[in-house]
Amino acid sequence: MKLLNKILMYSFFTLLFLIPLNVNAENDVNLYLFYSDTCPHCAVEKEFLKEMEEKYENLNIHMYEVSDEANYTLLSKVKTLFGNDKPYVPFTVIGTLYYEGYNDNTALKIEETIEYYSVNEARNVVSELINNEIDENTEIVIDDIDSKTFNIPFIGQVTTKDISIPLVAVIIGAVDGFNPCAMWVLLFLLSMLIGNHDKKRMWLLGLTFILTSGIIYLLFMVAWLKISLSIMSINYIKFIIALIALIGGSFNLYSFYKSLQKDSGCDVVNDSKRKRIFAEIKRFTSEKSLLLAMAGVVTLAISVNFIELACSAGLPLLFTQILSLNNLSSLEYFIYILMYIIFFLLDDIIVFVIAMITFELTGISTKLNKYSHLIGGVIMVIIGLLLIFKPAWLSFNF
Amino acid sequence: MKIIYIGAVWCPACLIVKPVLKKLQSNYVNIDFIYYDYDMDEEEVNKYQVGKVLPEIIIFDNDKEIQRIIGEKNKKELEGLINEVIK
Repeated sequence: MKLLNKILMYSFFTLLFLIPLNVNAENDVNLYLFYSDTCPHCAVEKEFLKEMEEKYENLNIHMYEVSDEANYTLLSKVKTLFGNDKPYVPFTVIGTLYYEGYNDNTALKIEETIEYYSVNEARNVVSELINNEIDENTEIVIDDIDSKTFNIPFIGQVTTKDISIPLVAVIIGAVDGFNPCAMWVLLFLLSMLIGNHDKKRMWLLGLTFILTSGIIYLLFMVAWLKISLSIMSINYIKFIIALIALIGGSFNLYSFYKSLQKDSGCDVVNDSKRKRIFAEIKRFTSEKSLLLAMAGVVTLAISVNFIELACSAGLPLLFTQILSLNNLSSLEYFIYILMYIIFFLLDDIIVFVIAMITFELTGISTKLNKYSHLIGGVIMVIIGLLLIFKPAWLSFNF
Repeated sequence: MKIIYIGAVWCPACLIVKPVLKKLQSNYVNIDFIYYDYDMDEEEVNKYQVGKVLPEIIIFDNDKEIQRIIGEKNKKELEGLINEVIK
């Protein structure tokens, strides 16, 4: 019965979060839809726009069926204004932005644009065209809703995205790193290496372990990013991931709450697994051939880090979600993941370098682990909520 | 009187507490300090019904356990807990 109560409690709190709220906003937003009664995509978009109208009280929708001659003339003018000569519908205009055709991604973009113009001034070019304040050849400046720009001394023009994503990579990577899952293996490995008193071997085997751990994490995150990029536009997938984030976050917060009631220290878990890994480490570190020893450490790092992934898969998974919601180049994706991993490995690197210099092992206080559960839990819950209510904020359109 | 310390090389909390205890040792010259490793000294460690959190510091007076300190403690906390029972 106890487990059932827990499941009901978690589900209740999760559902509590999901009650859709009516978004209140500041500016009036005018949306112009040019459609045709015979166009299936138009019908789907019209359904979507009904939801938007209910959700955003400040949204005014103007519809133009293009089999009507006057509407068709207006559409041609609007298309010329935007330098778009393709004859497709649906054709959606909000402020100075337009969207042609309709699918889940367009829906996300349209909602982002509604949210952007709800809090930012919008120039209503279609109404200006209707009122002959401008004509179809007038030059218009397209709003860059993807980001705001800041001027930082010495660095120059920087957008919110340029700042926010690295900041998120550093914070979540560091919090993820404080999760002690694989730290005990590194410490045991270092204790064996220190015993050998062979500095070159220590550097090589220690670095091999840390680099392999980083590569495993990199491969996992790149793989998950690719999956996210292909499925992220499917709303119910995003919803499931948000649910995972909320449950994972709640579990982290629950672990933090539990840790307050007991002594902070090292949990002695799974004696047999620990002894097996220790035996392997002893074998590798006493292996005469350096190459064989390195190969051993690589296999050790691979197996240990797969355990680590399960132990903290929540945070890297959510970080790749955030990346997938931002239209970045492959290079940018790679750089941000690398940045995440560097801060994820930071505590391992610190412990390793100190051990190499002082020939002594130092530990990072387990009291910090408690707070990594707290911070990690809060981050996961926030991301879960944003994935559901404000996905646009995760692409840093505030 | 004797103080038994049980920790592990893979345990960050132990790596913090052990050096602190070693420093405190000089304040208590009449007390025997004995250090065990949870993995390397398994036979000895099994005599003390160690729990699931490391490190553990057990204080004995005439072979009778009078205090058990569990988990990570800083110098002040450790000194206070030891002084509590030996005064």
